[in-house]
Amino acid sequence: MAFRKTSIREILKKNLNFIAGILTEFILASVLLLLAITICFLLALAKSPI
Amino acid sequence: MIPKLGREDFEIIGYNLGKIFNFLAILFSIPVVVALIYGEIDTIPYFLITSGVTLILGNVLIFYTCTKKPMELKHAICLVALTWVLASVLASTPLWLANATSSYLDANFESLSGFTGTGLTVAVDIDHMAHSVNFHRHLLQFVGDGIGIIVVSLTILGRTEISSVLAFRGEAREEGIRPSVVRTSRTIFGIAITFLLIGAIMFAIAGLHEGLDLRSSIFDGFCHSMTGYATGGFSTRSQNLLYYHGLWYELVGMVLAIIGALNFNLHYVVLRGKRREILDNIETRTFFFTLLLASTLISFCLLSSNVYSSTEAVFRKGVFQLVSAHTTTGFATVPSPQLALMWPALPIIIISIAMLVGGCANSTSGGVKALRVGILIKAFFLEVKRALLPRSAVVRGRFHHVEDSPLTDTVIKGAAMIATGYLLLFTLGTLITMGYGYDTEASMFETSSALCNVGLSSGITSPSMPTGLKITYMLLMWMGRLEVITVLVLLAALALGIWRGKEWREEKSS
Repeated sequence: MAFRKTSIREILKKNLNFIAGILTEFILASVLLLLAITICFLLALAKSPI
Repeated sequence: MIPKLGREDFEIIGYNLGKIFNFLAILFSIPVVVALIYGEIDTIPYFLITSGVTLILGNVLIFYTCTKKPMELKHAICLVALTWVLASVLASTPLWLANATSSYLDANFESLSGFTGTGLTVAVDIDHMAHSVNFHRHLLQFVGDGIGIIVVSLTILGRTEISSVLAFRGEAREEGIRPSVVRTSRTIFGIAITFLLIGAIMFAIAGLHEGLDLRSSIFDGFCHSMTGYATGGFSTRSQNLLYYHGLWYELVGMVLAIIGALNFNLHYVVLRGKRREILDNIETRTFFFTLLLASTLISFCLLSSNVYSSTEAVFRKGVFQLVSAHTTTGFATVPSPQLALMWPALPIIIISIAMLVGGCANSTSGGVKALRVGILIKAFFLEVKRALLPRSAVVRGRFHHVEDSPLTDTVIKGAAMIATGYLLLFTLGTLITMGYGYDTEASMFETSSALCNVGLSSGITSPSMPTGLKITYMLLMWMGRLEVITVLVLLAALALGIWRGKEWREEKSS
């Protein structure tokens, strides 16, 4: 049986949706945390004396 | 009329239980590999004994109850409810033999907390626990809560599709991702393994960054990734994630917990290229909205009460506990006594409510679930709209969850029933805890933590807590994991079986 050489580019191309999906989920969770930290920062800023 | 469980029914349940035991026997032998790597030869017999006993029990059940009859919903529900209890009893054996807990009941508490993905711990001296025993605790959470023991064992060990579908429903994962349940289980397994590996690498890098040696960072990273994705909350350290005192470690924990709390259906759709679904889905919208709203409230409370004064402290303590609670993970960066004594009542109540709301349906998280909360909120606004419009106006609601669906009375009733079940158990659990002399906020916090399979503690859960309370929390963890109804069906079926058996005996004697 002959094996066909598969390049990294081909693997990436084949699983593009999967990789992009995983990245999307990680980015989304990070954005949520970024929003939360922004809220914390703004509240701390509002509380601190001018 | 509810049918009584007869001999044939018990045979069907017993046969499937035997199959599941065979899968568990394999599962209980996995920590032997860790024991060999770390040279913990003395712990190997504990796992081999447990695995052997489980295998013998499984095959005895299969031998005596061998049946080809298909499984119905009532069998599936009883099977699921029984499996969680019996699997926990078997899984507690290595913990008890290794003296990881101070009593046999504690070992059962620990293993049930593991299987249900709760994370409340009564283990003794976790920091010096054998690696293999610690790995066993984490593996229980990953398989029990991260993947779901019933479906995996039934599909791996080859039951019919319909049997697996029914068991799938009983295990509170009723939404099918793909037409075939075997394929669904494989998809869930694939998604879980992918996130487990990515999480482990991220945790290991963060551990190295915090100054851990390579061996410890890999072991801790792998274990935390298992419990983080499974939204379980067990840790290899007695201080949980506080031990590491590292922002990156905590960030990885939060990111993994949020991903773990997302619906498997959503993972599948997003990984197939439909990324827009995340923002359109009613469930994720509700989950993200409640998460941000509760974060704002908790930050405001902690800042205004001067518990923490800097942005970093509020984020790493307040928001971290909230994310951990809302995703029902149970990772902690605040010691329990500090939470109980330093934090004001309001943040404790907010976290308790967040725990009750929980993550997304059909995910690894517990609680009422964001989908049901979203549906109830939508139904509430629909009723307000209906009241404002003329009587002749036709008001129809719709919601988007992977596909557009009408907001029917049946959907609303289903969501309301589960929410009511959780609220009733929450009230009952809180009252029982208060009956043991604990204050109201701590009782609410600990009850919702056990019921919604979270694992955060206000200090009540410990090896020295009253036995009655340990049993109460064990029941809450079990009922919470199976979404109340499954357990109620089992109890009703058993009660009816006993009652009708008694009637029959009375008739016979007269």
